[in-house]
Amino acid sequence: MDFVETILNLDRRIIYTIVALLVLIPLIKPFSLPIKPTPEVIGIFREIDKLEAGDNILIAADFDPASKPELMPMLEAVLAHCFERGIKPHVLTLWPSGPGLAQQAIERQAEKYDKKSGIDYCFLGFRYGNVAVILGIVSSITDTFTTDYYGTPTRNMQIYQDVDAVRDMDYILDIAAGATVEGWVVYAAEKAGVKMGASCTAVSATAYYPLLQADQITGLSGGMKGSAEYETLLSGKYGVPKGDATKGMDAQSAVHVFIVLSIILANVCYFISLKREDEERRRA
Amino acid sequence: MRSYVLLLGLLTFMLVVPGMAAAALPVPTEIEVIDVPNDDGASLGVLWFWRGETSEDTRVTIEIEVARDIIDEYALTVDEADKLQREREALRGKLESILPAMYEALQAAGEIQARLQVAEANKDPDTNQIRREYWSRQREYNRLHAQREKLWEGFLSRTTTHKTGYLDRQQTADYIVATLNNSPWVACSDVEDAKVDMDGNWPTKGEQTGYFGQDPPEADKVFYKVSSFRVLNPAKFAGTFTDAPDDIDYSAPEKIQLKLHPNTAYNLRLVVSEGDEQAIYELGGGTGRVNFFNVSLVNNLIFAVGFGIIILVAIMLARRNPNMFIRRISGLEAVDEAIGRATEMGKPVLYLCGLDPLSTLSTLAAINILGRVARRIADYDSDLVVPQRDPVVLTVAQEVVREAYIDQGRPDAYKEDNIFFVTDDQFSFTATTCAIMMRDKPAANFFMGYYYAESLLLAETGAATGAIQIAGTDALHQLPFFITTCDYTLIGEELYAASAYLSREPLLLGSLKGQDLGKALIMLLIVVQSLLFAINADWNWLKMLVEPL
Amino acid sequence: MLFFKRQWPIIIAFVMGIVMWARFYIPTEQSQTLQDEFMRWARILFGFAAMLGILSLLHHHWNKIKLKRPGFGFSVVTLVAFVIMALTGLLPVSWTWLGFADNLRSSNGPHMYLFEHMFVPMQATMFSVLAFFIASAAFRAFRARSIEATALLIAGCVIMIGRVPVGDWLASVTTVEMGSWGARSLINFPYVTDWLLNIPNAAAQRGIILGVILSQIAISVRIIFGIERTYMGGGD
Repeated sequence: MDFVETILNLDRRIIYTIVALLVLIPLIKPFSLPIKPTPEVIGIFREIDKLEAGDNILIAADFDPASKPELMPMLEAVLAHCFERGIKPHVLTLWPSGPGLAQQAIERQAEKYDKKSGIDYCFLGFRYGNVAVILGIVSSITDTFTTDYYGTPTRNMQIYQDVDAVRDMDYILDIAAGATVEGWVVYAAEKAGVKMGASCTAVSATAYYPLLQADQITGLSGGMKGSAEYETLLSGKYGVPKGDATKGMDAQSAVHVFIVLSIILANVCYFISLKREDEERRRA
Repeated sequence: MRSYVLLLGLLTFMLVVPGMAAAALPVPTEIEVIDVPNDDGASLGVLWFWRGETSEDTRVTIEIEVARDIIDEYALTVDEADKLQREREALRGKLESILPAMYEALQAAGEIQARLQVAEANKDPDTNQIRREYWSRQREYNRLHAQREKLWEGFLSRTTTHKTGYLDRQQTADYIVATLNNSPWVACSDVEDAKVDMDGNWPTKGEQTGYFGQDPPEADKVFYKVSSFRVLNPAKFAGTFTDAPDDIDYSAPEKIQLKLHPNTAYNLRLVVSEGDEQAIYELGGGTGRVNFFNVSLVNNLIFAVGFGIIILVAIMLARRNPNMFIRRISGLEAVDEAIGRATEMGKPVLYLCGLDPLSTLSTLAAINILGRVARRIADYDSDLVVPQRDPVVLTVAQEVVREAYIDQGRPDAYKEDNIFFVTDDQFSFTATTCAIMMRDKPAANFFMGYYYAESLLLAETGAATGAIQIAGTDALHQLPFFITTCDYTLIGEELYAASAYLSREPLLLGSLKGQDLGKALIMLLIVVQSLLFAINADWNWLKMLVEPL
Repeated sequence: MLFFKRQWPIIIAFVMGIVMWARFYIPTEQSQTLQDEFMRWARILFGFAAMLGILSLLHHHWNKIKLKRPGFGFSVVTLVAFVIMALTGLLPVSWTWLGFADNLRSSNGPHMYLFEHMFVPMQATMFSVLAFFIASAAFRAFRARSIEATALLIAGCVIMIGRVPVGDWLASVTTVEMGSWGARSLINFPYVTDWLLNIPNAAAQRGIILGVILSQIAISVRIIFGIERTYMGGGD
């Protein structure tokens, strides 16, 4: 079997091995390519940056461990951004397997900026019911989430003395691994008249461009790249150290380049084999 | 009745206004209180015209008479009050037993500290002994202080329950009256700072298209929506316990926002002020009512009814003329080929209904296709394997397949065990299904319904086993994965058309025609609107039809 | 009897379909209560269906083991795992003799221990397998067989490069001064990516969404009026 046929019938396991190496090596020894923020991500950053100290932002952390590498850095970066500017984040999740990760992120950032639960931020945790929960907090957060994640009654919290519904929020951000963005747009942002941004996995980003064009969301962050862009913006303006997404970008770059090169190689071989078949047919 | 009052008010204004025109204050005329269409029935609107110039200093406050409401809002039931009182008393007892010991420890620590300073200055040989004594006292104090803090927190938490402040009925009333300078009027939060917007314009009726349509009569009338008001936060004012913290800033007290109740009458008044000058206009009462019909959904209703009728008419026409042309969908033409191949090879057919519950329409569509596919499989006599993620879908799928086998006269060939529940966890389900593909090597795989990140895992594993694969989904972001790895993919609406296509039943095919008509209508709307936009025409009625009101 | 099997379900579907549709336009409290009530029914139904699901799972795997069908060993693993997870979560006994915390709900309890240290890593593994599958699927299936396939291939490659820092890097190193046009990048993948996502992608997505929504209205009408009955297990 010559080279062309070897390539066309390449064992999948060889590709798997190369991909594994290309992920591992840049993680161990990064080559730090520059990251240029796109207008979509700037659309989220700018809106949050416009808010003043004491303003409120609603963050929905609708993801689970499976999409942690893509979306967790975004959550951490946005929380850091809020705390840096004195904005009060209200974090909740519609995914049953979401609270664990959100709790890690919010506790880590709150400790870093010395922020107090119930005063500077509130972690509401999980409630069952997807759209029903969204509709609930549109009329009242403290009625829907009578206690926060830690069991403290929300009605008594200082943070909820002036604020009680989605319309009192100054921005909404949905960090979503599934199809929750539409729900937040239709039932929360549109209904309450609050601007909204979306951060989603790279796979589902394409589906939200129509929302972005219709100005139903101000910005869109897709996957780990979007998170890395947000980290870059944050470190550029406030000097906050970059996080996990930036570290992962080298590995992602390497694998993408490999896939593109392998597609090109496979196609070249495909054409050569077509030509050979043609010649053989002519000879026959 | 109200209109007479308004007329009377209007006449009064007309008589009084000329005299007031010399004053700097702008005067509102033709003021009216209206019910604003809304879902929660707790909103009122105030509309008026201005006479005279408004400036940046003009402040408008709409005030509301609310004392009764706040009292109700903060009233404790007798049981609640009793329970809280008991718990407070118990805590008070504990606190009072700790306080003397705490103060004693503090005092003792202070005395020893003074002795320690003297000893340190004199380089006394006992210094270390005294220091140890001082720290032991200080630790004692710290311990007691921490205990007191904890008890104090418990005390506070029992004075502010989820529903109420800790003032009782009479105290609340006294408090409200006192804090509001003997007046039951409070400002509505959403107009508290009712000033001009950035460009110096008052928000007008004409801008509130959501309530009044695109071109309301009297579009220049100023409009404010009242849905809540603010009062001082009683929780911030301790008063029942002597050891209350001293650091409350009474000069800038925190306020809390209370919502208007539906079907409750509220008295309103409008206060116009500029600097020291102030004028008050009583507006009388208004009641927010829940609408029986959500006006903002009118255009939605028009579209829904319109499309419903189009589809029903198309179905009726199909009954008369059953021979209709439907374009060829290659993915569905291949269904027979796939099942035939499975029969030849003696391998089973794998069918997935997607990962969503039955409430998702694509799952329902997948179930419908399953019914058609099962009929063919019963004919061809091959095996059908259907792993399920949702128990409700499982029961429906079992029923559908059983009926299909019975319809084809093959009830003996139906194996209930082949349609089974796996797990409702996404990736566990994926792992199991991939394992079935690797072990049983089905000759044909059907992926119908809604899918998430597992789409590629399923389809790529299926491709590796060499099966014919037919996918159909309306999960937009999973489509590319199915298109690259499957032999045929039904895109979006083809999934919904599949059941009609496979059955060839005129009534079902008729609904497809209706759909096409609806689509043509939408395309026409898009083209017309784009053209109008291009020539800069001002045709608002078209926009009104498609924008949420 | 045939009435309850054929007509009765269709009558229920019709009445409920119309009621729930009308409810959408009625914002009163009673309408909300109605919705909440039906949601509660649905949850109760789901609870019973979940029992059926578990029975189906046990029956399927037990049969497989009993008949010693190929791969029955995996069924043994499934049943053992099922029993262990259920027992550790339900049995009110102390697991301290195994070094676990006494409280079942605690993260040091046996159930959460298994969840966190077995289930979560296995789930993450399944998800990460995607990366390998994408590589092999792209290599195998992205062939320029037709014009459409070529367009898909080129767009895919451009976006893959345009969405990672390599794209930005390429754009910056190929930037040249072009007189009155200012500095322009010769190989600007991010720009093309942006265009592809914002124009052709968004346009196609909208087309598909419109089609899907219309189909959903059509299928709803078919179900409400009893024209589509396959999902009930009935005939045409």
